[in-house]
Amino acid sequence: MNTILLVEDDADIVELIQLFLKNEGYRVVHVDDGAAVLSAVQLHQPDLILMDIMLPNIDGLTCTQAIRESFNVPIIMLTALVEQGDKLAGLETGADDYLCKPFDIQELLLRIKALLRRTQGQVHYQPWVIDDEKLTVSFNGAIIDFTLGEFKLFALLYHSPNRVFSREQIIELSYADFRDITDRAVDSHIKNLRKKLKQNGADPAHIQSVYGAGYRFNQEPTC
Amino acid sequence: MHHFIFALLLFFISTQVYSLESKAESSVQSEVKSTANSTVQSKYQDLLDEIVATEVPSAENEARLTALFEHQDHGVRISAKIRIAELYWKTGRFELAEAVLQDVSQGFDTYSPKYQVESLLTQAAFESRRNNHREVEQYARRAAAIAKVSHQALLANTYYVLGNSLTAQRKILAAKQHFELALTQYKEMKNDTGLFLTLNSLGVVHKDNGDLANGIKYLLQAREAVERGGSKGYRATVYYNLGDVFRDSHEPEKAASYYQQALELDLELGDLGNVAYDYTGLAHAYSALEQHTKALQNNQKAIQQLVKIKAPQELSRAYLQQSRIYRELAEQTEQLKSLALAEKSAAQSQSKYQIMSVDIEKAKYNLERQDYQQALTQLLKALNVADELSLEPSQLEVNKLLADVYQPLNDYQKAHQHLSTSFALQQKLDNEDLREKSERYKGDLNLLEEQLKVSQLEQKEAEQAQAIEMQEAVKLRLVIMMLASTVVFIVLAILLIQRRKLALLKADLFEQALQQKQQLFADVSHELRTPLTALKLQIQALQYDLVSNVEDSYDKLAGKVNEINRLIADIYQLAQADTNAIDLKQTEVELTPLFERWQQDWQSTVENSGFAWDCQLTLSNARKSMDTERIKQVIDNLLSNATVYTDKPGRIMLSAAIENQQLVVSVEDTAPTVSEDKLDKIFTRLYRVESSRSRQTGGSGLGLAICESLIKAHGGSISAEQSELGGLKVSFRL
Repeated sequence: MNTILLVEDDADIVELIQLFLKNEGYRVVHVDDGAAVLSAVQLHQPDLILMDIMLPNIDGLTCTQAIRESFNVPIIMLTALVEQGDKLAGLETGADDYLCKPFDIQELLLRIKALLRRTQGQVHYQPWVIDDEKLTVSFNGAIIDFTLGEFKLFALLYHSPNRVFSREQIIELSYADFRDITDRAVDSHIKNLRKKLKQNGADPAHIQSVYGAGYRFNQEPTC
Repeated sequence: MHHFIFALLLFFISTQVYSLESKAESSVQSEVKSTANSTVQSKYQDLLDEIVATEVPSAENEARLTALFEHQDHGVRISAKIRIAELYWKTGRFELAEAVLQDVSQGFDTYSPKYQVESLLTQAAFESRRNNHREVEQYARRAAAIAKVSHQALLANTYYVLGNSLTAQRKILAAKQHFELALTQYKEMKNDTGLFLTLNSLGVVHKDNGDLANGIKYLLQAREAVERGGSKGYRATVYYNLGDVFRDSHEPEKAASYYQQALELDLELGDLGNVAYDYTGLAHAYSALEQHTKALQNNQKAIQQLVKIKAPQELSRAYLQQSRIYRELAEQTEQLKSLALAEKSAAQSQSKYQIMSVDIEKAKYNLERQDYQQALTQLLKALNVADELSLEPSQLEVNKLLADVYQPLNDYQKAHQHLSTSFALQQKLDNEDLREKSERYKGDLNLLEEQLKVSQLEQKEAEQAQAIEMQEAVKLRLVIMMLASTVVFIVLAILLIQRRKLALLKADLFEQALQQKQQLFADVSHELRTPLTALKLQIQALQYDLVSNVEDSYDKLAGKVNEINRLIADIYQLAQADTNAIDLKQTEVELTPLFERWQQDWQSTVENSGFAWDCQLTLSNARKSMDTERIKQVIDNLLSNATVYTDKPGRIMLSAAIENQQLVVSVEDTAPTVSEDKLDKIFTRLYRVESSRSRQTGGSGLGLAICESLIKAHGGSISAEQSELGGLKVSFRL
């Protein structure tokens, strides 16, 4: 059963689209605020997103852009803006399709079906989302409560997966401001990282010790 | 040399005669007052003017004059003939000239006195040109006699001509007398030309008589007169005579310069006779400057001319001069030859003075050759003439020479006698007074020359100053024009810039309005599309049988349609506000009863919506002019917003009061409220505060915008703030 995330702020429209989608056998998740979109995507990992543009707090274009940074989930934009420029802007941000209101529900359903068939098995959700601007790390939609130092350490390892960083390198690259950091301190921070990963339901084995060399980020710690 | 004045005189006489004649005739005609006569008169005058204009010799002028020989008018005929004779004479056709004159003199007795006088004067002029001064004197005396009796107007002319002939014959005293007579007459007639000519002649007479002082005095006056505006001929005359003066005062360079000027003018005028005299003068001047070759050349040119015009006395003078030049060159043969020719010419001229001059020159020659006897004979002969004519300079020279001759002849007594006579004469001539005068007048002449130069310079300077002034004026004008054009340009530029600015401003405003409108349209279309989408989906849900509760679905459809309808009404109202097309029906009303009536409506509406109602009216007896319908609409709208956006259970309060003569109405409610930063945005069209725009609330997002436009149309203001009740408070003032 495919999950569709419906982002729309008009209650009547939400109700009716839900009615149709459920009738077609989709699971429907509904969000009516732009600010809640990204976490909903991570949480529900939808197979397709229907995105309105005029939304409270964060508009649909910004949301689409944010989603595209981390996920390749197909997105169909539904909007009352009908100018060519709006359409292009929507597609440019990474939307896969664009439908103008008022649209024909059958057309929407066919497009959803086509898009789902085309992207079947290609949509992947990796659990980690690193926001280098907000300096946050989220796992499966939930933000892990890292300190700044921990964030820098995690980001360093995460951005070069499987590469081994020595303690000296770690101090050099992620503690540029702290001269009095010792190897022991690094070990202590790694410990804290693992603890917080575990608290948030992630496998602490993602942070792997390499004997005599240092640490690395292991994407698939199942071994 | 003064003789050549006669040639000029002819022209002078002609014009003189005719102008006087025409004056006389016009006075007669003025009595008759005949138009026909006056036509004849003018015609006659035209012809005379034409004759006067034929001064310069040319085939054309001769043809014009010949044509007039058969003219019916006697005066015209004679004038033409006299003029053509003059032209013939000027161009060396002397036989023709004489023939014409002969013709003129025929029938002399039938002429009127004027023509008789004129004819005689013309004859005299011609004789004068040939230096036949006796004849000149005879003609002039006849003319004077006729003029004195019957034609006073020409009397001065006859005196003048007579004076000239007497001068030529060295009858100095008589000549002076006649010139003085002429001078008086001319002064009376205010005839400037006559005055000038007479002054000139008087100057020449005095100068020739050794009285340089008076000579210069008169010439000075003459020159002044002629520089004021004499013709070229007159100028040549004065220059020539000034040349003579400088010759006599032993300043040959100046003399040569004046002769040269005279020569140039005479050559220009084509007057052969005068040219001869100019050459003679130049020859003398160059001789004095010891430029003998030049002197000889000029003298020979003079002789050529003089031979042509048959002027024996002048010719004799020229030969004498030639002999002197040869003496300087020590060419005795040539000198003797020249002396012989001079003697021959002198004899022809019958001029005692000239014969004497030749005798003196011959005596000098003999004295040099120590042929004392011969010299003595000649000198005694000369002394007789000199005494006869009482020519003091000649007497002096001859006496000196006689002393020189008697000495080698050992007749010391006679030598002494002549020496003392010469000494006495010398004393007389060197009279202090005379010398002083001479020096003074010479000084005057130099002064006059300086003055002339100065005046010429001044004129030049004035011209330059004028030119500079004009340039300055032009410059000034240019500057002014440039300034003016600059000012105009600047003004135009400013105007243009302002106009453009205004246009830009207008365009900006227009653009802004257009953008606002476009934005509104975009927003409106979006706002319309949203309920339309819901409507369409609702219908499709019914179509595809997805709806369980059909009745409910119809209600929803009706609700959506109403929503769209309301939205359109709102948009229409706003559009009206945008184009200032809101038509307010303002009437003055008493507020308290009005609000109390409305209050009942609102209370039931609010309470039916499930809110507590509170109303505070403190309006006393105030009256206000307003469109009551619109104001009620605003309050309705605010209350409706309050009921929609307030959580239940809640309270909604209306307060109306008079503050500073303004009506202040507020609508406030309990929570939720609007955050501080969004308060001033809520009047923006299509702005919604709530995070979830549930269509269930039914707001179009235009309500507050409409309220604002209506209040502004009344000239009031509207604002929002957080209410003490915990919600929103919207107030307006009128």
